[in-house]
Amino acid sequence: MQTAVLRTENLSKSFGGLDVLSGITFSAGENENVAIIGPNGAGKTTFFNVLGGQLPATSGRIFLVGQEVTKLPPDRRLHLGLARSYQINNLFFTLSLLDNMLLALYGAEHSHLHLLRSLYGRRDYAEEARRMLELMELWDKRFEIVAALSYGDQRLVEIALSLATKPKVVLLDEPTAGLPTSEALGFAAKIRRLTTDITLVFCAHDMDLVFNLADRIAVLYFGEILCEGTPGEISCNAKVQEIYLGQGSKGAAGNA
Amino acid sequence: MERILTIFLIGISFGSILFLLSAGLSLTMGLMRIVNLAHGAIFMVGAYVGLAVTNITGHFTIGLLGGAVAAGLVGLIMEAGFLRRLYKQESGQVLLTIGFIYIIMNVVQWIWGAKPLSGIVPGSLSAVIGIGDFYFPVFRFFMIGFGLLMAVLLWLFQDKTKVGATIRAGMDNRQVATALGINLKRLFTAVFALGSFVAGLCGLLGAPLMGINLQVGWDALLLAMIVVIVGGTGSVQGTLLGAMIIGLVDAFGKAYFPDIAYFAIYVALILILLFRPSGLLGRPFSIQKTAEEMTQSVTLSAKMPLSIPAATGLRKPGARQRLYRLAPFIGAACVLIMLGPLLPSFYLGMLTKVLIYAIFAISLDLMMGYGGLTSMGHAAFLGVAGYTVGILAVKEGIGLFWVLLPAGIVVAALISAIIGYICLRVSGTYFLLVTIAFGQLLAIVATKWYKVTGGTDGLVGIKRPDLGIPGFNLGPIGFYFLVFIALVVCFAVLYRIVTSAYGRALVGVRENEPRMRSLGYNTWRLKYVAIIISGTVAGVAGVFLAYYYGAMVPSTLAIEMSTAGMLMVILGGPGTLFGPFIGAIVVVLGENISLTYVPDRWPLILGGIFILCVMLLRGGFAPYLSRLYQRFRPEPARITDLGGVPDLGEVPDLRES
Repeated sequence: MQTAVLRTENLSKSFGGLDVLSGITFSAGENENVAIIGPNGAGKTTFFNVLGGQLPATSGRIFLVGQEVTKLPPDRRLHLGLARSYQINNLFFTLSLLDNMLLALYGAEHSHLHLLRSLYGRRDYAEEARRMLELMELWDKRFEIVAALSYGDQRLVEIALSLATKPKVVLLDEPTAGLPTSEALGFAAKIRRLTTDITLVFCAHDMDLVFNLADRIAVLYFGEILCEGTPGEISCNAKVQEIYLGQGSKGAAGNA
Repeated sequence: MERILTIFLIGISFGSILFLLSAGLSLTMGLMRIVNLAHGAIFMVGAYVGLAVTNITGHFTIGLLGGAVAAGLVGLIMEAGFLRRLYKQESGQVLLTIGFIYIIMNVVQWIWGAKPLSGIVPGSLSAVIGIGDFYFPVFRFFMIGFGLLMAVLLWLFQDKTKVGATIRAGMDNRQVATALGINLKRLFTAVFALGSFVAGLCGLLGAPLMGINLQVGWDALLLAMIVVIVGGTGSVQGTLLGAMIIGLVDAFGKAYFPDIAYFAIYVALILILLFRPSGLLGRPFSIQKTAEEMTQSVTLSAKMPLSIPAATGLRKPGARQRLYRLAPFIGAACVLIMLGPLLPSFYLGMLTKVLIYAIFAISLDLMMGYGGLTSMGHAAFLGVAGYTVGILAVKEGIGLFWVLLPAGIVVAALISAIIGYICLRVSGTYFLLVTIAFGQLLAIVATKWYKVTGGTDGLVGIKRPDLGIPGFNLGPIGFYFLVFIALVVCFAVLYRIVTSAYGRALVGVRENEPRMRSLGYNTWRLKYVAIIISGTVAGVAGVFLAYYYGAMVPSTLAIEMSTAGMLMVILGGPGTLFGPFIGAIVVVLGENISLTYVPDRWPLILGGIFILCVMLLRGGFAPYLSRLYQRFRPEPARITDLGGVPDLGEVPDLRES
């Protein structure tokens, strides 16, 4: 068993009387790629929001590299090495692509009160922005405002922003949401290129992506972890097939 | 015991009036998310029309109804004609309704004159009930009864009919609600008009307590706002509770601490903000934009007439580029320097005023345009700096400019640090409302603290700056140049800040605060620093304004000053710095021209400009000017922020190989 980079103990979240997450105990090891799957409404996005600090947990605890972060705000969690992306593009739409990247890079600093230094004044950040934009094949579009980019490119930027600060763990909420299947596979390759040496926790409905990227899969069902295992184990699990993969998806599972 | 009971009943009856006044505001703000700052002005319309109808017909009840109908009509026109097009655009709603305040007040003044009228108590209700030593007017009981009756009716309407749920559904998803066959447009208009109707109904009823005068439009807004913040929006019970608490606090404050009673309700407000920012019974009023709304705001700004930059290389700016970027500023500076000795003294004075207001406007732009923190209390920072100069100069006899300038700036910085801390307990619309409250609070301090501030007479006799150079006396031209230098310094500092990494981060917060937080930014701190810098620079304007008028009066702290600053920012172009400077020129010149030709109609014109700006000129003049200027560019246009500063310049470190 590897050391857990991200770990939760009995994590629960309820809205009013509705328990969306009930007692989730989960961990992800170093450099592990964990996929969280589950039917719509299983609580995947809520789980990510609680992990990222966007929503407070009702009970339970969250640990990041051994340190408890349950009560910390999202910015403190980022500084401890936890970053995330969103299911719906959540960017600075009126700023240029380059500005988006640089803002993300500056996020890693503890103070953001550089009142006199230009955003472009840090050579290392500028070079890193260039490296990442070239990796995404978006360098030529760096001066375009993000709203003017294609949806697929925006999707890529969404993920790149969360990776910019070189986090230890990154949470990707439906990285390929809204992309046509034809683009999704190439997209997975780009994610793989960008996330080497990072613990990746992602959720997805697209089984090709899941079986392409994941080392381990956890199945979330009505706010609880139904089962965990390697892709092979999960695709053979009768319960999972019954509730989730169901009709037709077995073919995709068989590819793995 | 009788005394306490009497005070209690006074408080409850005032609370009932406050409830009626605030119910409409709470309804439209909580359910429909419309910020209607003209709510107080609508209340005022109810009072004036109600009184007129009563005088004509001789019936108090018909007067009440007449006032309510008139107020409801004003609400109807505002909603159906204007606000309907601004759903979910809070800043637009705010500016539009400020415009309506000015227009409504000026029209009322046109018809009824500026003299305060007195409220009336109908004969049948003018009796006094007495039991033993205890006496209490029947009219007050009528207020309480009427207030409670309306509370029950509104509660039934909002919680027991489908209307509340329908409106909420409509706010969540317009298209689905429309597809389900709900006529949202008509429903929203009806609810808005109802809120105005109720406010108008209590205009005449509350007149014996609130008075019938032109100041009521602002006063009523302020009281309604405090009630809504204390009680929490969206529920009738919350509004009722808030109204009763404020009514009682006011009554007991006046009875036991008459000297400082004016502050009692503000103390209540500040305590609530510090310990329960969502209000006593409020649902947390969070304005997290949904993805859909964010795209909407993008489409809005994408409509702004700026060309989308072509991808070009990053190079060190060449000499021509630098010249191109600096040319407009150098040009403007040259014109201003030449105008100094050339202009006749009357016009020189006007130009000096323009420059002082420009400092004020660009300071507000940092908060409002870059940080997205719309403040309606910015005059507070300007005012405290001015008063500091006034008090030190007039009361303490300190004349040296080099003492007074830093003193004013430091006080403005301190006050902005305190006010900013409390205001940032809440965000969005609430932030705006709280800044109004603080602006008014300081204006009241300036009026009431007679010994130090000179009360309504103000502090008179501030001499021109003494620069401490023996044998040198600063004349009007010298003062003009001193202000000019201050403007140049403030502009340069702010320009540096908005183009810095911090400035970009601030724009990031404006655009998408949740994402900034998940990218590791402490957004609270970014905003807090913006408020302090902004307040400090406003302090510079305040110091010079005190010198300019040679006096400080409470109106320099008041809401009209803050809204003038807002208008300069939105007219010129928020988030551009040079735009608000142009806005300052337009507003000061406009005021002067109007005062020459139509002296009493300036607020009407001002209100009209507000409405035109919101409906037609989103983004202000600045984008048009910068687009025009781009034609003279030495190289293809390149802009890094569609909504902000055009052309942030080249990245020196990143060279295209």
